[in-house]
Amino acid sequence: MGLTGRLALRNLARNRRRTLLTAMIISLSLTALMFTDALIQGMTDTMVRSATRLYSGDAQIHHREFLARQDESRVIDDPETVLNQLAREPEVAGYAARTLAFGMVSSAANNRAVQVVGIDPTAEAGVSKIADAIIAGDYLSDDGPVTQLLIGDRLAQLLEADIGDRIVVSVNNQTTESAEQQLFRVSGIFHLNARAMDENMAFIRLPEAQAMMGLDDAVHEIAFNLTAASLATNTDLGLWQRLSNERWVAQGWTELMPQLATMLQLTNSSTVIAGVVLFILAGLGVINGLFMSIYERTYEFGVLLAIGTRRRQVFRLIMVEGLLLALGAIAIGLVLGVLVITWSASVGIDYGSMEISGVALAEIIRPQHRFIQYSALPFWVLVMTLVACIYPAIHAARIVPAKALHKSL
Amino acid sequence: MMMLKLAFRNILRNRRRTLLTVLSMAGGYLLVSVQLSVTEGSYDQVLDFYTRDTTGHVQVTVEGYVETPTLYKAFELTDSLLQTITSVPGVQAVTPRIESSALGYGESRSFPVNVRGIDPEREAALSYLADKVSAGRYLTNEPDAEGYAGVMIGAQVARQLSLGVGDELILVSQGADGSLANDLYRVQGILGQAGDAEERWVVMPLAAAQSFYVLPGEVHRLVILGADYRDAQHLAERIETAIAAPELAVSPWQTVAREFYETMTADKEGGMITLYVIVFLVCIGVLNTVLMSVLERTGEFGVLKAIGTSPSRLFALIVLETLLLAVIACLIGGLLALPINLWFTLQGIALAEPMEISGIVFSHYRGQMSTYVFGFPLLVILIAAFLIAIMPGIRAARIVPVDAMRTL
Repeated sequence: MGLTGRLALRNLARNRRRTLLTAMIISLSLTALMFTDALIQGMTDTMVRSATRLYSGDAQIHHREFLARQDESRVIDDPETVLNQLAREPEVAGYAARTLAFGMVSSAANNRAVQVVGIDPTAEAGVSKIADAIIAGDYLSDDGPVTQLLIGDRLAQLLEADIGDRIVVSVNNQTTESAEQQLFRVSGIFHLNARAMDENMAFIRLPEAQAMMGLDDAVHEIAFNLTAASLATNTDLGLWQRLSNERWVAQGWTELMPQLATMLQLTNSSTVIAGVVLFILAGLGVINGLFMSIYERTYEFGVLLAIGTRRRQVFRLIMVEGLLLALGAIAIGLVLGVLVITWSASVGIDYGSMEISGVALAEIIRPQHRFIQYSALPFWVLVMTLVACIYPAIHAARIVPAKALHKSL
Repeated sequence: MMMLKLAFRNILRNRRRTLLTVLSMAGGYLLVSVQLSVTEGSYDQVLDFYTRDTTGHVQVTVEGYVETPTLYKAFELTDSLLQTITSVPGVQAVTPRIESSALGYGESRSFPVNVRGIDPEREAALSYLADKVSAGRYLTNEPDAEGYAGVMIGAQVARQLSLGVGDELILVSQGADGSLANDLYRVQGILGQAGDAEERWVVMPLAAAQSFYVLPGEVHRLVILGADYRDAQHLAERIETAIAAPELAVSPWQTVAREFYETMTADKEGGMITLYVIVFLVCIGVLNTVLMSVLERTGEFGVLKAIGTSPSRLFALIVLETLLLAVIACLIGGLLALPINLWFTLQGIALAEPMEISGIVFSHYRGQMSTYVFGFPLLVILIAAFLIAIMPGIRAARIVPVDAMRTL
């Protein structure tokens, strides 16, 4: 360490309280930035997972006109080919075919319009969390009776129905174009902790659903998961093309839920704005702290300059002081940041039953560690501190010895 | 007065320091004010619309209906009940509703629908339903020439059942007495577009719904609109005392739309935490300068004390200086925040894609101009300034004249 470095270090050590206060501004800004990033990361992750892994799947295949028109007659009439293709894709982790019908469920007490979904119990367990969310009764089984029916706990409450109770399900039959009614018995009640699903969905087995809807072997939707959730946002992947043709189309969740994608983008940009504002405020604090220390030493700088120290050297001295201050502060900030993130992740932040764009934040949010928090963020804080140092450093370098040495009360 | 003059002169002595301190405090003020303005404004606009459009400000229902609505939880709507509620001060409009579901049939296909029984005139005075008619005309109580009651249907119902204005709609459901309910209706109007909240609705006159579901003279909800959605809780209490019916529950919109209300509160609290972190950071910076300015003047304070200034006066001087800085900062911050908040209030930022939070649609970021938006940050900054001044103030007050004057 050269003379400048030693001088700078001693100067910082002279007024410890001030150094500590200035360092605290830098450290806390870094900690705040790290925590914000971790929180947003955790929230995004929870939201995407709730949106996709709970029920929808990372991606879905539909008839090209199904989603736009909600028209139940637009079906994938050759699901075998698609399913075989899915089995060959290396990035696909699980897939399940479903039939969707907006239908009516009636109990002795009440009736409600809900989404009736026909699912293949085994395949479905590899895509969605319904099998794990059963709180009473059992999940659908392939060899059980044909009257098996799964409903959400909110729906069960509204229908005043319990396990074993009779429920009449009616849906529109696509072949006969008439209402088809059939008797089911509640075999399981699920709780996905998302109101939209717990209140508005009923699951029956795929063959029964196909028979009721007059679909033969056709399905409305094939949902699948990818080996990594982030793959779904990558539109360059070859599988989108291989799984789509002129009749059906495979889409990732960003396309299926554009609202959620915008919402996440919005969150990201607002984080950037908050970060910039934080930087400006912290920068002002640093400038302030350094100025205070320069004012105190105006006389000394006068002496230094009078005995022939170059202005460049004074400038450099202040910059080195800033650098050392920043490095120390960043170290403290990093430690604090790790502690805060680790602690908050272990406790978790509960947003209650928040629902955004139809997606429930079904779980407790756990802030996440991320490499950028330990690389880019400290780097930018360092840059910010050094930029903030320039103004005080120029001021110090410009001190006029004659005036500075003219000490008065 | 002398103290104020002294404090003023002191802060003017080192202008650069004053400027830097004031700037960081003003930045803090600006940030808190703008964020408050945008959250309050956005929620305010959305809530005002939402409560008018859907829940009203207060609802009267049978106990438990708000949590689990079922067909049977209906109550008798008497003229005296309506009279009592209307005469409660602050009530602007009251409308009864029946809500249930049914299976709708068009020519051939069937589609499940949500049935609403309403009083067309009262509903039009309270909600925006009348403005949502996209084809045909708004509901009337009179049946058509053949004696069929008129209905308005949602866009999705119209599409799925291939129905247009003037067509017949058959509804099948279960009546409250367990009987099979079915009836024929004439489509009078279509509501909104596909994708709207009303897309699966069938709206019919109250009397028609009462006879369809076999609920003679009964309704599920009485929706009440007051002057201001913020006053709903008080209005609910007043109505509760006025009607004095233990079997009926009076709920403000916060209870009816509980999930949204909780989300909103959590969101606001989260925003406040960020603000406090920022204010805290600003405080540290300000503490730095105030401490510095005290240390710098140790000698002067020594002299002041030696000639008989009491410690409490010195303390008051430091506090006054800091508060003065804070007031100037808030003035500057206020001047900066004013055009920004005004722009947000008048213009707002449109979201690229409207976002739905717990069933309520946000389409704009909007600001709000209110005393709260400008007053609350002022209070925060002033309190923070006072707290900051305590430590340096005590330091100045405790100075020992002999030691202090040695630094001169």
